[in-house]
Amino acid sequence: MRGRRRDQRFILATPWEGTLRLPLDVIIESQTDREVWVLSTVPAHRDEIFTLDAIEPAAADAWQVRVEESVPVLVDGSVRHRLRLAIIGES
Amino acid sequence: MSDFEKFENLMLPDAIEEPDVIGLLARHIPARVIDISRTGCLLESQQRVDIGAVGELRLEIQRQTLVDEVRVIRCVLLEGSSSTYLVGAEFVPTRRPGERSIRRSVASILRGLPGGSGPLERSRKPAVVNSVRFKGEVS
Repeated sequence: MRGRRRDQRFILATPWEGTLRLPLDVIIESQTDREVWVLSTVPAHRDEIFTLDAIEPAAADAWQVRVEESVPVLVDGSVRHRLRLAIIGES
Repeated sequence: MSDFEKFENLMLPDAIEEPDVIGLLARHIPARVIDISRTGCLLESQQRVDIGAVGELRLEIQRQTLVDEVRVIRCVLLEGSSSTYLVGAEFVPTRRPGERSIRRSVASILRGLPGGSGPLERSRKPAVVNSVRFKGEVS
């Protein structure tokens, strides 16, 4: 697309490996020692791995979690997704 | 009932709900940087990424970790592939680039290459050492 790029690009002879971390706000509904239930605006795939940081109201907890279940639910007239997440470690 | 009384009623303890516990759920998508410029990069990923998503790109290069914030501006399926996506991302300059900034390291490298912008940091040892060639140049 003409004029879209402002800067000259360079190809890497050896591609750099990395990770794209894409965060999303969720509401934490409840939790136990082993599982956390959250409300999300987007669904998730079963067995997908995320990190979850509790940021409000009391910051501190951060876990590595695995999606066990993703179910669409209606909340205040909007479709949300209730995710059941298994805690598999600390983040 | 006056407006003030209505407001007072709203502030009664019964009307105050428990605050939502907010969390940050982060997806970590492995990606490879195919090409790069001062303002963005092209990534290859095995997962589709939403256009407009904002996140953090973290690169492990020769035992160094470089990080910058990016916004996804393009995501297309690689031609001939069923699961590899090309993801265009632009750097989001929300703060002054620090020592571990991808933007800063790239700018430093590119200045030392033909076509770079000048010798401003030529004396500085690049934070990242990798063979880089111009797009279209045969290696």
